[in-house]
Amino acid sequence: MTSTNSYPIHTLMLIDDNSFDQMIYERIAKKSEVVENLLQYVDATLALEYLANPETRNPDLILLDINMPKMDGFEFLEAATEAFGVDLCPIVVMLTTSLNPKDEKRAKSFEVVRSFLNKPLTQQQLKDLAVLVNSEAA
Amino acid sequence: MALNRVILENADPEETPSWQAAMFLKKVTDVVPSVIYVFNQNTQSNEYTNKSLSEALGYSSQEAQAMGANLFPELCHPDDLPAVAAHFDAIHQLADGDVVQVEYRMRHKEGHWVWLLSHDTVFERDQDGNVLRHIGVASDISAQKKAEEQALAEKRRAEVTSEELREFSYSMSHDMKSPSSTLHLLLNELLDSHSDTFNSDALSLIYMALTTVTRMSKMVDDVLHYTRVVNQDLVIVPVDLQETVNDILVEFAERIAGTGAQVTVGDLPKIRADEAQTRILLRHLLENAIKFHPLGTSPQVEISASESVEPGHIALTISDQGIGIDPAKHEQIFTIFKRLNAESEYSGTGLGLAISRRIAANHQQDITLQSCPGAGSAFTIGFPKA
Repeated sequence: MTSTNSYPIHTLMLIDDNSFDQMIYERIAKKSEVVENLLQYVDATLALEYLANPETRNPDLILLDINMPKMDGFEFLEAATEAFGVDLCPIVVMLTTSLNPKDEKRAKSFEVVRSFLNKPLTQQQLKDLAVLVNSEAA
Repeated sequence: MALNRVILENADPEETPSWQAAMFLKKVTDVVPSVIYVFNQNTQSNEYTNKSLSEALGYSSQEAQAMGANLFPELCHPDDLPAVAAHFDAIHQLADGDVVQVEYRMRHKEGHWVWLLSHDTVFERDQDGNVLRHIGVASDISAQKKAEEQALAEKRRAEVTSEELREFSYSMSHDMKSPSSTLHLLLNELLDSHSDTFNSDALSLIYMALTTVTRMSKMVDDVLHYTRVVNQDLVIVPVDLQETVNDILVEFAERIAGTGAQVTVGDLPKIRADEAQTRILLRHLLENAIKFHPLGTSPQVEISASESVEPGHIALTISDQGIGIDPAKHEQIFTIFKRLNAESEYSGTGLGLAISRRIAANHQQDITLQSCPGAGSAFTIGFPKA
């Protein structure tokens, strides 16, 4: 990591209603040194608004919680894929406490969903995701 | 009409023209899907059966007659023979006009069992008054029996599953209660003994951990509540709603003072309900009514009772002037663990209304909701008056 534009993940979007988790993600992202910009949303509807705005750069990776009030992860995926198709984001990864295999199956039925991770997020997982993002970009 | 009068209303059978009676009987025995028979006690065999026996058991009338006295011992299911024997004994004791019935299985000509239901009555007595012949109607109830057996098996399975789930969630929430309270102790001790050595960042992390573990304890408590109200046997007693509500308001005193809530309690009657469950229900509904108010306003809560449309019942209503609920989400809010608001805005476990509806259902009642965003919410539940 010699220059500022060498972060493997340019923009990471985190959608999770738990504000404490969000705060820890921010710390993990900083320590991992693989994320340049972090977009954090405790409300999935606002994340959707961000994506709909043509002025903003789409994230390289979205980490998405499932169980959220207002709009849950699946509702977000449905709304986002309907609005933006598979161009939504190269890689969406579910990040959840759900141990329900049905949830995993349902998540993976969305073309954009690449992986299903159980919480808590670790630095190592984020570094592995950085590799995935780069291999996708190459 | 003429025939009807002749057959059914004519007091004296002697006056009925025999050809009309015969034609009527022929039509009836042809058209009924049941087996009709006349059984002779002396010969222990059927002297008459209509055509339906062959349909029910696969044998022709001639075949059935040929079996004679062996018909029952040969075709009846061995397990049902004692019941059939007792039934035959009962026929001997019958007064004229009385009917006895029995359910039993008979082997079909193709080998499978057919469930029959027989109604029998005295047909003819000998000179000593003993029953000589009895007449009966046997109906194939196999389809009904099969449905009953299936329903019973389903019910047993559901009972076992629900009992297992109840025990599982009960012991699970119980086992989780202890580590969560230990964690609470440890974090408090950490703050108590070492807070002077922590910088503000470390302190805020510990406070977040404490908030989280408190939330977890609340969740565990609610799961315990839920498992307690699921399938629990009710103890129905007179419950003084006024007293119960006042008790809960005392419990909530701190919360009420903290939010500046105005709670108006109307005249509340005595109802017939399970006392513990009524308390849990009111606690959850009142907690919600106080909780869900727009930031910067004071909760306005009203608890009132009115006559219900259902006779002998009252309708208990807990209403607030809070944030209200989108009618499209009225059904969802009663779903277990479903939450509509961010934890940071309105904290909760998503169990309160699921528990409340369960308690209502335990009392054969439903919770109804009137609410719109911004227009407050009113939850109403019926109870029988004490």
